[in-house]
Amino acid sequence: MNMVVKKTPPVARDSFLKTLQKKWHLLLAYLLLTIFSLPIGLMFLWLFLTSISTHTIAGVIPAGFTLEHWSFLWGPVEVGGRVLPSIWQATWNTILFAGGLTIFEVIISTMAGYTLSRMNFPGRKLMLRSVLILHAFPGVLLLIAIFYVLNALGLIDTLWGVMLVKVALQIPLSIYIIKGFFDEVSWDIEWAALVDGCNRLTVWYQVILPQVKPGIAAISIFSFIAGWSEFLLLFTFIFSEHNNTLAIYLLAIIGDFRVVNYGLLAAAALFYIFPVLLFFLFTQKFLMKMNMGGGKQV
Amino acid sequence: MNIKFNNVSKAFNNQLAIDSLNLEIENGEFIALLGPSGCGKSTTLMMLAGLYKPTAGEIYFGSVVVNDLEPKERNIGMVFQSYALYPHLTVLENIAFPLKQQKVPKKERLRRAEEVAELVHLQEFLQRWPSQLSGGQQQRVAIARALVKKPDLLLLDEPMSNLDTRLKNNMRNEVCRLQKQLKITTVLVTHDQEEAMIMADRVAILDAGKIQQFDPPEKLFNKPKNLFVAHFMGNPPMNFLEGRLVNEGNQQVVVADDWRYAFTKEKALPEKYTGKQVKLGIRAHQLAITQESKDALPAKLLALEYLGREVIIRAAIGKQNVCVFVENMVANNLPEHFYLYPDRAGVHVFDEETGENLSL
Repeated sequence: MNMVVKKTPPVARDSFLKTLQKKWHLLLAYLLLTIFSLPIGLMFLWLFLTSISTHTIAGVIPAGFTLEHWSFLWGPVEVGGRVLPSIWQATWNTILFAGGLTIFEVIISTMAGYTLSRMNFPGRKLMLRSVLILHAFPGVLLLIAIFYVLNALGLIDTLWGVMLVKVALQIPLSIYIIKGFFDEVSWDIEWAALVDGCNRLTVWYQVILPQVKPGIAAISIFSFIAGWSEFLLLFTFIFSEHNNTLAIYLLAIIGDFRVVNYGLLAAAALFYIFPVLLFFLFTQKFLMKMNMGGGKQV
Repeated sequence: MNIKFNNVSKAFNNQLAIDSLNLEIENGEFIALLGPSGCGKSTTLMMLAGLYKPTAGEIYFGSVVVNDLEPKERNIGMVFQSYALYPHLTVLENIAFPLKQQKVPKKERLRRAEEVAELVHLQEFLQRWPSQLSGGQQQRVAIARALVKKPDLLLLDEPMSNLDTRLKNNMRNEVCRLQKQLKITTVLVTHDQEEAMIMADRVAILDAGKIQQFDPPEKLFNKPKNLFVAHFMGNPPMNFLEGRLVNEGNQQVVVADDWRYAFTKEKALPEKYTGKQVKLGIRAHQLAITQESKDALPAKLLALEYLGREVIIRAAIGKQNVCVFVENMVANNLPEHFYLYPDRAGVHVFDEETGENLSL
């Protein structure tokens, strides 16, 4: 059988202008976003280029190529005549700190958030309010008191001790975020599960938690990033080099301000940023994906 | 399993939602709780489910007081108005969920879930997510999930109110069929009287936390116990005419400014009611149009509403408006003034103060 293939009509000359007319607002949005994010993007680019260049022209423009600054990945680092321990110990400590923080926070705040959102008990309102106040309270003010507490508990200079402090300071915000997600879950689903044979704990675990996945993703991301970037508490309560995290390690690299090796600093900074970037790229889709819709009206 | 409410009350913040309710449901019976919103019907259902605890009184399942039993200890199935499917589980997993909680082995529970799914014609949708189903299909899933554990009691909380009319009729038939087939004691909560009348063996009409009448649909319609039931049942609602009950000679008569209605000897009310302010209640289909004034009520035509086969005539008797059902033919050349002749069997007399039906 003969197939008649119709040629597509030639594209009109003014089609580009027409699309432009139709989509100018989109173009404008892209343009504005580009302009505003350009400085940040350029700074990252500069950081990267500095980390692989031998020297800078006029103190700003990187030139020459070397991988020497990245040598901390496979060898010891010398800063201002001082040899620093391997960066991998600090990396492992940071992962441990941020990861532990995330796990503790998710477990505690999902339970507390559910309770505050769903259960009625005396003192519930008071607890909700005090949670907010706790969050408004600057942690710095507590440094000395915490020092005494940690010391008394024998937890000073340990990652676990600082982790507990950080968890306590972070939990109010997480509880507040996750409580909002619990509030959104319909009572009907919870009741249905109770009728179907669950008790309060299995309802929470099997039915309600899957509905607040985006919320769990949100608090995980927030607490992981908070743990990864924590400086002050670790700087104050950790003395031993083998307990250092990356933030403290960076400080050690800066060392004496007069002889800062910017190439090394840039490389280490990138190394420090990279896992968080990866983590965020991996988890942000959970933030965007809203898994709602058990019934038509839900 | 037969169920008994014994003086059950429920208060929220000292506000009485249910006021000493007494109700007995027989084994395998299909009853409906019917009433306007806020009448306490959902509260009653929640107490049956164990989601609310009664403030006073006892609820019996068989001979056991279940006041303090958790929902999961009651072996009930429940269908919610929003269906309340678990969005993170597939249709099959949704249906099998109650069995999972009973620790039924996986193979067995999937087999049973498939069986029930077949009962409600869901075989083809087992692997879908609830959000990929239409409203009617979602509801079938909810029904299957409620039935899968072979409950002693099935609770339906306004299950049809989110469906369109055609689907609603289908589902009503199907639910009735399932209920008869499985012989499960069933309680339906609804504000739709048509639904209650079609589906239930007996209907309990609730208002202000109290049961107004608990009877088969036919009896509710023809022998309403009080003004509320008379007014609530039927569409258009029953016509009411206010007057005073007096004796004229040896005849008992209800009189008003513009009309009078005389009772026959057999229909006469006890002597003690004489002198009371009463309301005559007559349904729209129990008034006939006539040109003769004898024993009839004088009426003035206000408007006509065509419904297809029938016409509703809106007319005024004195100051009170009434509706009358007539055939198309009669409505076409109606004079402005005519008489309405009430079917004597359909005339109810209500005490204006207490609302009680005096003619029962």
